[in-house]
Amino acid sequence: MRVIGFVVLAASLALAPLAAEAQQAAKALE
Amino acid sequence: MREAFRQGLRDLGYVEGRNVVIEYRDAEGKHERLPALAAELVALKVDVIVAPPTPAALAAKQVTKTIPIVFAAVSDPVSSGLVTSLARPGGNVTGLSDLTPELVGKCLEQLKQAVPGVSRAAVLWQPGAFGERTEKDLLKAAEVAARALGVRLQFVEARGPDDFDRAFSKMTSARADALTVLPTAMFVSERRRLVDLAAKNRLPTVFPYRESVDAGGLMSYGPNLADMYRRAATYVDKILKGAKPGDLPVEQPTKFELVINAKTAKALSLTIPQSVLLRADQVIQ
Repeated sequence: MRVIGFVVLAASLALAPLAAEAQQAAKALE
Repeated sequence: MREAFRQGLRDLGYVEGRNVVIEYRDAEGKHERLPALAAELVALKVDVIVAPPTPAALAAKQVTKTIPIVFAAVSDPVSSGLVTSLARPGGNVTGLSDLTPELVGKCLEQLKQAVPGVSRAAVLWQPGAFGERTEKDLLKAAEVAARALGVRLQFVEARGPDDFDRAFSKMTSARADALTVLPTAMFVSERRRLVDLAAKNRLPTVFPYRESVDAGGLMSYGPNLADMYRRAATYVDKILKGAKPGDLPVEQPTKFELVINAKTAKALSLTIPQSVLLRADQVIQ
């Protein structure tokens, strides 16, 4: 049995707003 | 989107509970929870981590250098620091980028077909939103596409929402008769204001994400994200069969969706050709 981990920022949100948050987070981590 | 990924796995012969188990972790919109969730997956010794958007992939990358990580909707994986190059990612991370330089040209093409009279299109872009090379490629591809379509472009910058009013003034004083908005995060989160300004200035606008059309924008043309999540399963399959993530090139979107808001078209006194409406994946009435 193989195990896949699946981690998301927010499963309930549409993806485009996620993309927005994603980039902000990426900048914050830089 | 999670369902699209599961479907992708099923198409490849995986059956949950029989030959594969999926451990889901959802940060519920809270970025600060991502590192702990990614660490949980590492502690479980999963075979591969699927971390679709940039912050999830970055969080996973910070907690493991050995477990393969697959992303599915990252705009600029190189400048985000996830991979060293698209062709050869290196390290333990690979996946799908939701951006392709041709996207702007494709948007312009759809706009020109929907509103054939367009001759001067403004391009709203945000300097610094992408890595320098990506930005250059995007703008160059827009120029090439516009030339082929016989459309003159006016590049208008907006570094933040405070620049929007000035940007639209520039467009109207240059007599732009349409607008295309580049796919940057800020334009997505500020979509309502952009949609309002486009309506106020009577500019037929094509956006790269459908959410802007749901918010009242005229049309959108962009990657089909469900398809990208399905394709993420292909990466997982290859990795589970022994491929090294660093050897698997980052792929870009291949399927795009066209969404048109008929109400907005009417408000702008536009008649969208029937051929375009028939081609649309969705027409919002």
